[in-house]
Amino acid sequence: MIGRIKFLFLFFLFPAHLLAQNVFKGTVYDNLSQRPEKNVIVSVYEGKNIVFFTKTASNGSYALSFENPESKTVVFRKMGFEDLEVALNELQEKSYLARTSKEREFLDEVVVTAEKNYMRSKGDTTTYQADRLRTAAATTVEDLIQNIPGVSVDKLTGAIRYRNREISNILIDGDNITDKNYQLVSKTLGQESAKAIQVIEGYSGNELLKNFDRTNNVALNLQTDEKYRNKIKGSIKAGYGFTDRYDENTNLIFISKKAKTINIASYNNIGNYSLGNVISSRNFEINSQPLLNQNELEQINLSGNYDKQLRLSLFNTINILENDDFTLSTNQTYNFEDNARMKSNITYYKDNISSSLFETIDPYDINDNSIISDLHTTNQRENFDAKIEFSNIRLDREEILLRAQFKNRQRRNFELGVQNNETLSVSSEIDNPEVRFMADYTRRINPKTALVLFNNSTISSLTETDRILSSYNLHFLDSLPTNTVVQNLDRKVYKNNFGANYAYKITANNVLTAGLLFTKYDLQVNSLLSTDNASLENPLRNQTITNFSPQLQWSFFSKEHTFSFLAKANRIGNKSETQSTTNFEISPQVNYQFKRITPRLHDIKIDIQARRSLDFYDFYLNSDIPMFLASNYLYLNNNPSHFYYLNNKIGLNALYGFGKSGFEINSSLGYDFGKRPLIDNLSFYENYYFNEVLEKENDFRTFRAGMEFKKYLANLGTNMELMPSYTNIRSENLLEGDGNTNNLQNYRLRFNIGAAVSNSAHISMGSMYGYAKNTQEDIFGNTQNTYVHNFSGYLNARLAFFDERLIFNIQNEYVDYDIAEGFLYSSIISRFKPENSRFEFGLNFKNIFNNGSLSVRRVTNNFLYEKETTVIPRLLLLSVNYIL
Amino acid sequence: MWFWFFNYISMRFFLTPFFYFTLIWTSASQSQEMSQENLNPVGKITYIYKSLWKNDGALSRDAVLLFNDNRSLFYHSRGKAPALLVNGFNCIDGCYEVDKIGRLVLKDFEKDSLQLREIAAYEAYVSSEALPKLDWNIFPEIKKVGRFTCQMATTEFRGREYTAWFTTDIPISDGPWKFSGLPGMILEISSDDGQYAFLYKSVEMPINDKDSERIVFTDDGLKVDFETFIMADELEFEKAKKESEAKWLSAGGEPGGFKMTRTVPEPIELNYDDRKD
Repeated sequence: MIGRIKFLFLFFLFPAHLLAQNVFKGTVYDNLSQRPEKNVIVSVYEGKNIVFFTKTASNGSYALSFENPESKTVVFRKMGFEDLEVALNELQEKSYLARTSKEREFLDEVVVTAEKNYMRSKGDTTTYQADRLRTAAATTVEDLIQNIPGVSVDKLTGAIRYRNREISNILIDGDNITDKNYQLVSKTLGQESAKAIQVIEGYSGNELLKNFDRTNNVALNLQTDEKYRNKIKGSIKAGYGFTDRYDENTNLIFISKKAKTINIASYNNIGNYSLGNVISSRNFEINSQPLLNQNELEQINLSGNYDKQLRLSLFNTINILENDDFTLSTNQTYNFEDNARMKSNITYYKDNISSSLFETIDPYDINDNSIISDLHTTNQRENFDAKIEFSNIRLDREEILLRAQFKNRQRRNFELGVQNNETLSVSSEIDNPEVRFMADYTRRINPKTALVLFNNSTISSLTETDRILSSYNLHFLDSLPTNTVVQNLDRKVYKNNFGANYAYKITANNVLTAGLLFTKYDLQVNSLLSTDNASLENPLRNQTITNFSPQLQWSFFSKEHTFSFLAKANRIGNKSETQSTTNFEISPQVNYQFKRITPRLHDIKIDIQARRSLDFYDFYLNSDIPMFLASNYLYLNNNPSHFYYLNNKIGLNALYGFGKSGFEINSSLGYDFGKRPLIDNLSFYENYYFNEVLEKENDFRTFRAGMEFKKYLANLGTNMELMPSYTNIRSENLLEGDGNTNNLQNYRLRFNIGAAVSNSAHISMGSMYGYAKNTQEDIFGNTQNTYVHNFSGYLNARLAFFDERLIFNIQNEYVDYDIAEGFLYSSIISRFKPENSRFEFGLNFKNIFNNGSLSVRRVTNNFLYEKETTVIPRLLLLSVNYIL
Repeated sequence: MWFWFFNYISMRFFLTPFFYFTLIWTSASQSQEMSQENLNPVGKITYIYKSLWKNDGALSRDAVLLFNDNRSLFYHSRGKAPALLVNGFNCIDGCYEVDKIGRLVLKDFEKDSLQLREIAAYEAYVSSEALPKLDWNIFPEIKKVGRFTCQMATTEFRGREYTAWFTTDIPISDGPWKFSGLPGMILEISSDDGQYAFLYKSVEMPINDKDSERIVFTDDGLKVDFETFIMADELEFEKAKKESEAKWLSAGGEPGGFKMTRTVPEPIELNYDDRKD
């Protein structure tokens, strides 16, 4: 209003000036169509300056207001037309614009601006710049990853855990190349390849279901440095040592926007760690992509990193081992232009483990007379896995995924030994080929609705040559929440007690599942009807088990809350020579989940599950509040049957990180009780062939507690770890019928410290003190106590001289518990011109020393399975390494 | 080919009971898309959108204007959702949220309207207002911006004085964000207080990038009136504050011990006086 008053005031103040203005009206036409043209810019110029301008209306008309028309010109401009310039005093009422013969073209101009963000956080994804994670000692991507707050890396297996959850994948520039075998990336790519590393929580393997399927999966994404791309990288290493020892390793890596490939060929017989073992044990597992969080049990993890120094507490066997190990792996992805992608993974792995086992009456009183058995074992494992995948995303909303997989597991075992003066000879051989074809179809109907069909559906054929059989496995339409029963049945196919006695045959396994997921206004409703038919036969026992289980599930979920109800009817018939029974019952299950993701990483997750199944009830509560507190509580009350894996655990993990300081405390408390399962579901293959003893029913209770302090400072390159822990293992009936109970209490304190001043000099050292008390009670009530004090220490150092022309690597380990032993491993690497030369020459020396009566001794406290590394008393090996 | 094959097989044999659901969804999603008119842009200009641009801690991001002579769509903060991009370790240095659709300004010169979409915290807000009428003063100063000869113009808009550089080589009266009304395209405009700037980065005419041609104004978000729309940041902050306080209390924090303050830079619009007239 004030503006208008001002205007009126001005109007009365300068009437003469305004009256002097001329107004000219006109219309602009297209001279070709003779139609009026709208939005033509009409500018009045005085010299080179615009003094007035307007735009034509929808009928092409315009009005100009000006003074002194003599000195002015009018320019008409519109996209697609030639400019029309007219002197103002020659302006006609109608003006005609001519179309340009060719549209104007302007080339792109790009201004590059640089920004430096050390850490970015966006919802589920946190990005760490690699420079911040780099220490002078870092050589591989794994070394960078372990410096991400909340990450722990198991140095032996390469397993990476983020906030106590094992990650499911490491992507390279968003592309999944290795599936679960992420060690292929973390252990083979050099640290220089990384520009940034992203932690993606709630990762979904299916691109169309991002932010939709509410998984608990964590994946890492390696963003590669441009300098690393479009070049063949890696290394070629060859080594030969006395006597007839080899160490050969070739890694070839190529990363571009379209194609990515990682290839490994390695052979060694000096007991070096091989990736092939990890890959072959995991390669063939189906990528489970449940649409809803299926409450995967969080493994209680005592800081993850109890590596070799801490595995010294319970010992009653002595092994002398010699391994050789051959791995060939080729993995690639290729992105086609039209959102299609192809991926293939082929791995061949073979190892040969020869061991001599001496078992003693009293493990702490070793002498020549104490040996009761002497067993020479040769295990050969041979795996071949091949997988090819093709996926195509269409219009950002439809995806088809086709997969073909082939695997063959071969196992040969030969044992020859003397036990109580009797010669023992056992041999077994397993050949287990399998073919699967799978097709998944996903359609994102609109931003809140998705349809998934054939999720992980399979058509497979299984054969076992030496015993039984072929089995056919056809899954139709397994959609929405992945049916865990399907997976259990799959596992049963491989179930084979020590590979010799009997096997199960699945003659029919038809699963029909159909689901719809509908979302509107943040409320999703999912209903699911499925049937699960299975028939299991054990010809050796003349037993047939048939199972028919239709199930119905409803889920309701909003942004933060999920409630689901599942009703499953089971009809199980068990027919054998001695009995014939039929059970029928309905098993209800209720799940509730609360999940809140906040911008500043203070996520909260709570899962509650109550279930009643065939013979048991269980209740499960899992809460997860990362950064502040991550805790898992699980209570299961059950009666484990032969077919179910159930684990009784109660535990609490707490992880506290001090933000930017990189200081973390990780404490764990865990108690395992009840009867141990036959097979550990989580690491099936690893356990399977080595746990024959555990096929007996063991009562195995463990209490574990520990605390870890970890301080990481990238700039100073310092790592510090302090880990006091307490373990109490109570085991009963270790061997069926002997009735003995063991109660082993174990206290340990561990201290690791390392410093890397520069790449030329870094050193790390650590020590562990352990005290163990073992109380053994036999069936007559006699007790015997054994006390052990353990001490171990290690020193690792890298020292470089003459501008990296000469490098010393020293690794020293000393162990003392009754019998002291240790080893010294050193290597000298020489490079002529470090900045240009790609050749490295190495001399490796290894010596194992002891002051006890036995030359070599390795023990383990892990009942389930321990793959021992090779122990070779002395080694001198020359190697040449060519770095690409 | 595969898709239609599988579609056919799945519909024909397995999905008969679900066929109608799929049909309904498909048609629903199609009709939703049909309601979003295609822009048919003739050109694309990329700007560098800077806030606090004369400070060291300038926060910059790419912003794009897709235009024809009837309508234009200006967008930025478009990325994989939901995300919070931080320019340093925390938002004191400046940060901004992105989502899949981004922050949008659709100018419709025929209807004289602006349609707006903003992201506040993790919530998107959608609203509209009338196309602002800017009073431009054109000056004889000339400078080169990129390869274009530009002339200077100034205006005042919602509490800030702006200096713009426009070119008549692109004869469309448009510009970044809510700016338009000059006898050519605005390639550069900055507030005289050094707080906000839209700097020219590149131009593409005609558009080679097929993806850009598909971008439309998507009104995915809370549809609110303009008065609520300009309060979106505060509303979301109050919401987050309440949630965090509840978290604090549930984690055993003292009642009253929780404090949360907003440290955000000044908004680009300081007042809305022009709307009161």
